[in-house]
Amino acid sequence: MNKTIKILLLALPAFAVLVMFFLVPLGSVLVEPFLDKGEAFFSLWSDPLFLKGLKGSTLLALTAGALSVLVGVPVALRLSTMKEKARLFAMFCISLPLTFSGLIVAYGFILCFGRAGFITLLLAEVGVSPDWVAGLVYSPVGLALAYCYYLIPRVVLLLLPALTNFDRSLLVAANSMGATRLRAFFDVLLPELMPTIGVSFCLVAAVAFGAYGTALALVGSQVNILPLLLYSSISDTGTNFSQAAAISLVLLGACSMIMGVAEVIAMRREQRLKRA
Amino acid sequence: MSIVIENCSFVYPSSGIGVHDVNISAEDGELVAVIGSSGSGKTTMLKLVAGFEQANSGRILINGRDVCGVPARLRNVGMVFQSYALFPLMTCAENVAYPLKIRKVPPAERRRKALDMLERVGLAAFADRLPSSMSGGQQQRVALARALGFNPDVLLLDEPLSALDASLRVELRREIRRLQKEQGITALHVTHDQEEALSMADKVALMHQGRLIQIATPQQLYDAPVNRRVAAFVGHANLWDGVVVDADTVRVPFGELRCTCAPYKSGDKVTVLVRPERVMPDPEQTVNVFDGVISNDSFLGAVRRYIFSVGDSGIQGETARRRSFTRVGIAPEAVQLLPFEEA
Amino acid sequence: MLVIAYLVYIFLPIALLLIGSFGETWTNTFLPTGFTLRWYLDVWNDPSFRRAFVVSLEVAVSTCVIVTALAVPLAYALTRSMGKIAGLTGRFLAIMPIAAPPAVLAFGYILIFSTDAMPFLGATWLIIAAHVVSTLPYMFQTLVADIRHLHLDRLELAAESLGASFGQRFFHIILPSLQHSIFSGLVVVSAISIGEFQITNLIAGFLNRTYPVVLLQSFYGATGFACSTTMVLLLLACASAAGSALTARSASKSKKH
Repeated sequence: MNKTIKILLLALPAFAVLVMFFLVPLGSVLVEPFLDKGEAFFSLWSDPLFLKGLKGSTLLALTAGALSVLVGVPVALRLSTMKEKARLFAMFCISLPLTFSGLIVAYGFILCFGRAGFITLLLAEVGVSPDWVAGLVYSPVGLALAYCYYLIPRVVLLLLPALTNFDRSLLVAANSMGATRLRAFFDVLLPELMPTIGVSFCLVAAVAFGAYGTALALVGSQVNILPLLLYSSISDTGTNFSQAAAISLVLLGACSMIMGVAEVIAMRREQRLKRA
Repeated sequence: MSIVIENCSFVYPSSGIGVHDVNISAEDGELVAVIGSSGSGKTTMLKLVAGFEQANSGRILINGRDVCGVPARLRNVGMVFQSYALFPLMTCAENVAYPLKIRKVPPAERRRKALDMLERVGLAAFADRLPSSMSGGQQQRVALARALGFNPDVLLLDEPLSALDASLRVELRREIRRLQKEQGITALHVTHDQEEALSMADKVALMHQGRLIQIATPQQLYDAPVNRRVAAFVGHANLWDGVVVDADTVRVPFGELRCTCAPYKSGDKVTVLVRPERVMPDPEQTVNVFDGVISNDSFLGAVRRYIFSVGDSGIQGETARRRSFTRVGIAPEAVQLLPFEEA
Repeated sequence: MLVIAYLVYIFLPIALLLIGSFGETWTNTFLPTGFTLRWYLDVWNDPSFRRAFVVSLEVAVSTCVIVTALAVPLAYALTRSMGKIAGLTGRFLAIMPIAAPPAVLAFGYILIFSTDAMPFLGATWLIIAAHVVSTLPYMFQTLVADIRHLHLDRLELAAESLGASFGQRFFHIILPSLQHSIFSGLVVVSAISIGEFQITNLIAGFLNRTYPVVLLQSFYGATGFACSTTMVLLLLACASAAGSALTARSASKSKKH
């Protein structure tokens, strides 16, 4: 018993810091909307700007999640079959964007896809209107493209352990029973990967739902997504705290819910593995 | 130097399993093996002696000193772990010298002592290698050198061989035994491998579900098991349900066996034990003779293990004989009666 | 093929940033025209960028030191006592940085630390605190994975049986064994801290804005200037990662001998 207390004492400083600089600030955000009996919170739902922001953020989260998984899964699959050295090198390159500030990504994208961007001009050569490209890039769907830059690595990093742990002889066994490689992939490998794919989808969707840095740098506070709405209601222009608190509540609720789903998926998988 | 475990009980608060009222003693220079299946409490016993857990009741005496309440690091016991537990960032010599460093032995002397210890396990040439560059057998030798190098009062071995290949295991058994005898150190050796226990130990303690079932020399344990479980765990055994008919007859499923039934009385239910090597093919005797056929025959080199079917029952036997036979006999003195227990 | 295409996707923006930072002019062309070091000199001579650069370094170094000091004992404690609290804290730490969007956390800071009782908003140490809280989970997870992987519990038992006290075990066995994961954790921590924008942007005062916060202003100016300021941030992130790696390594070496 004494030993346990001693050990927990080691955790105390970190706990104290987390409480003071994470839980207390978040708690105050949660309390704020109740101070006016939720008035701001309820009026939010008839505010067209908020509804548009909610729609934009949802679209952004879903698109970013889907795109990241669609690119991340094949990349992870390919990586898992590579030789150790090549894989480590590729992994290093791929996880590089994870450590980049969202701002670097934003300006890099302006250089690629902006009105006079490298890719935009390249596409103009084959007849794609630069205005159309720029219009796409500065919409929620376009934002999703930029977000993918640092979301895909997260998907790859989550999937790779599951893939390298996967027993490849199962695919060979399926082949020996007459399944084509594609068939074996869908019947044997994909079901095995599904929980991890689900978890990574939730994770990147939640990040995309809550982030504002890249979007602010790319398009200013003009595009309609919730975090930017929150940003403009607390930064110098507006300073509307009751509205900010109401939006915070929605953001916090949505992101926690998505992460909650991810937790449930992860836990189910763990339980299934335990039972097996 | 001795280890005495007296009426020791310990229960894990989280799972409720543990050991109950265990008595084991190892005299000076003895190697006592503790065997049992997983969950029998044998490793818990070792943890209690090492001081990783503290007994709820009872006493543990190391060298006559009651060590209850003494933390592990002050007990001065050398321990060898199943996973070797060599410190990966230290060389072999540094590993062996580590307990000496803790005991404030000057660097030059502890280096000398470490090299001396490595020499004794035949690994002097590996002194400055890292453990990860060595084989499992070599690593366990280093661990052994580390556990013995600081003159501990007793040596504790926690399944030290179970992570090794079969051929290495036999080799290391001898090595451990040799070093233990050379140092004259009292040792407690936990293992689930009964062959290992029988071949190495002076005494063997068999545990089951947290209780000590029997502690005896290997021969006694094999020849005179106290119950069905010991008989089944140690070596191969025919174990039949039986009923005592009279003072020298017991009824088993395939007939009647002549033997000495005392202290059981007629009508008592008993478990009948016959070791397979005591079943004689084509016997010269006339009592306890059964006709039948060999139904399962495996050739194991020096011996051949078979099941001899008599009606619906099977008699497990071992023989060096390669010819076929249709009759086996069991000498009356080979039949042992144990207290009745369901299989 | 697929991986190469993906690598192009990753490196194209970086390459364009690099090229753009040396380009004289870049308007409506594929690539800039002319070569100049002017933009980097401009950044160097800009007092607000210089100040921000120094603040960012200060914040990143402090964050690294504090996170290490907090996360190592925390990870050790939670892996040693496998109770319910330990499990829950681990899960909480894993979810926390994503479940609470940075803008929301920053708003919480504004609410709590601009009160009369705690008028700390705008203080540099508050920025450091925010960075500590948002990077702690990454360090924690790296450490926990390594502690499990290395079976430190077994090594510690062995050390205990050989007579080592808690302090001896911690400094002889645990810390040296964790040096690699501390180092790889620090790479991530310092990179995140250097690049952090979303919280800092809302809680920094005018004089202690970090580099990314000031950087945003440059996006509205000349392309070359924006490229070079962004390149500086990129290099700063790489340098801090390399720096924390080297520091961790030399620290562990000096301890060993």
